[in-house]
Amino acid sequence: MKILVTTSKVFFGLWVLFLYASTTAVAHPCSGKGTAVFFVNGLFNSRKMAQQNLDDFREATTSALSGAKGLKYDLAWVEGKSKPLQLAEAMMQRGVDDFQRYWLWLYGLEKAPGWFYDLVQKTAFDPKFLNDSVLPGFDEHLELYSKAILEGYNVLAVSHSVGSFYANAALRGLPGYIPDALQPSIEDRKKKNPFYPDFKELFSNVQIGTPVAETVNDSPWVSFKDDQVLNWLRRATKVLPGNIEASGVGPQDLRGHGLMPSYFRVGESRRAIVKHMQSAIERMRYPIPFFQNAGTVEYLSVKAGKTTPLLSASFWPAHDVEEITSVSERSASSADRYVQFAAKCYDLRLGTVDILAKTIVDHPAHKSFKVFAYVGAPQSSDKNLNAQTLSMTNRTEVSRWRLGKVQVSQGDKKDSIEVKVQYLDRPEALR
Amino acid sequence: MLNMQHKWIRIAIKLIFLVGLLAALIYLGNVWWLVKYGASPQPVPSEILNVDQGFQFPPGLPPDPGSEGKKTIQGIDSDHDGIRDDVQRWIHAFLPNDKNKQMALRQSARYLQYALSDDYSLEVRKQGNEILDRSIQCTRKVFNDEIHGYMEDMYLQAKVLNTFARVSRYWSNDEKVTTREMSRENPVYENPCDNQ
Repeated sequence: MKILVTTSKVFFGLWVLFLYASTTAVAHPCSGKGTAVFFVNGLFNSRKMAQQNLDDFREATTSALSGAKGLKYDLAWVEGKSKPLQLAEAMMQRGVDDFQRYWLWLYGLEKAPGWFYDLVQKTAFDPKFLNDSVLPGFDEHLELYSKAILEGYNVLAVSHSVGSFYANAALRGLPGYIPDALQPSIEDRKKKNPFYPDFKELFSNVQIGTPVAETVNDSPWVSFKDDQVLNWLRRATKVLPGNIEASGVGPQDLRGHGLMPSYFRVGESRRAIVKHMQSAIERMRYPIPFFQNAGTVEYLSVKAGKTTPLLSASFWPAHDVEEITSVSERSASSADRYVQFAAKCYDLRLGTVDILAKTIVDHPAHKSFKVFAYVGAPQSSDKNLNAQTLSMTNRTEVSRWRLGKVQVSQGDKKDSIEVKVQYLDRPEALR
Repeated sequence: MLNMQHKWIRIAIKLIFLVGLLAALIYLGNVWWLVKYGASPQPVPSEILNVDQGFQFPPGLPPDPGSEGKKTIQGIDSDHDGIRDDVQRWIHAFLPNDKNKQMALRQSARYLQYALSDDYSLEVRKQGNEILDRSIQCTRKVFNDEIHGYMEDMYLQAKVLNTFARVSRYWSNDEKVTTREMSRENPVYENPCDNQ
């Protein structure tokens, strides 16, 4: 009797093991990619200076943000357009001959005469220029942010000086913006898919040395109380108050306004910026990657220029009348083509999605079928690297199969949904 | 005799006290200067911009082009090393004892000279990405102060872009650059410095 019980236990264990081994499951194909940190520069930043600022900014903050998932840095460049040139022309008209001074005054390495500051105010902080609707190149900023969010990154825009006008405009305009890729706006995505995070959970802003009168969505800011550019602007317009006691003024920047020579050089302001960035990243959630596949089934439709057996696959949400399959084609070589059937992460809702297939025999030689099944999408364009191969053999002209399932559940704090894709080792024939 | 000895001892004590006081004042003065350094506007940095005037240059460097060097945007580069003669001389005089920093500034000067090109089309700008990235990374590598040679690079920029025509060309070329172009992957170079 004892032997019988032991044997049955062993068989039960083997059966469980078999069940486990008969499916493949890889978790989180729809997990967010991470955080895209955009540096939004101020005016009078040439191509060189903007790139230097981005590199310096990256180095100054990367180690403090090392715990953040998929951190990447990019530049949302504020195009100066004709402003710096206008300033030089105005200097020329005032009879200035030594243009070395232009640079020293502009970047605060030498105390500038009062008229120079007046010129800067007239050119850089012209209210007409700073109106949201006419910010030069602003649509390009919306495109950059949209692209990152569609890819599955949340966005942290760290704006310096005039860049903060662009950040404020983005906070107001991005929710309803329809990107060039003609995908729905973030507001519409949220309306269509209740699991899609709110805009406020996807986009944050930290402002440095900000000349704006107010931030949007309670964005934090870091400004020296003795930032000379802001103090001098306050005489003409409303500007957010300074909140850093330490002095930003130094021989590196007599204005106390520069990103590296002032705000990242001084410990108090540097720590405040990093702390606000950490809080923003901690607070934000990840968007559901819009173009990402939860699962993909593909088969070789054209091999060496000749068509292969017919197969179609579909992703059917349980208890739903509409499938969520998206179909596309990819070329592996000049003579080979694959047809792909996929379920997009964004189209998934809580519950189960069945992965089904239909095979059709139109020639006796075409009885056997082979498909490549992926969690997510193929990683390589010419090799089925991350594929699981599923084989089927038709017994009738048309056969239906169950290939696996997608299980969608509520996500954790950062991801809205958790997705598991399971493929059967041997597809189940359906009646 | 004893009185004489006491007198010398008193003088010695006074001397030691005075020397100590002087040393303390010098020390405190230095501390005060260091603490206050940068707290108020600094003197005009003309000395830095004019550091090449009157400098004893070693043989091998090109002659000072003088006002002739300002007549065109490209200026005079008599030894064809990609750096204007006046800028080459200034870099040498500015950092005479640090070859690595000289080289880093020379690399930065070459980028600035490139940014003054007559043809600044998209293709030219794309080619410039590597020159720019390497130059920035080299400066960062060589200057290990808290702001990575920011000031030295700024002075260099003032020297290279020192006429209205050059400032004008620099910004006009910059206007051609788009936000989309600036959003790109930046490779990290293991050896960014060209050392030439």
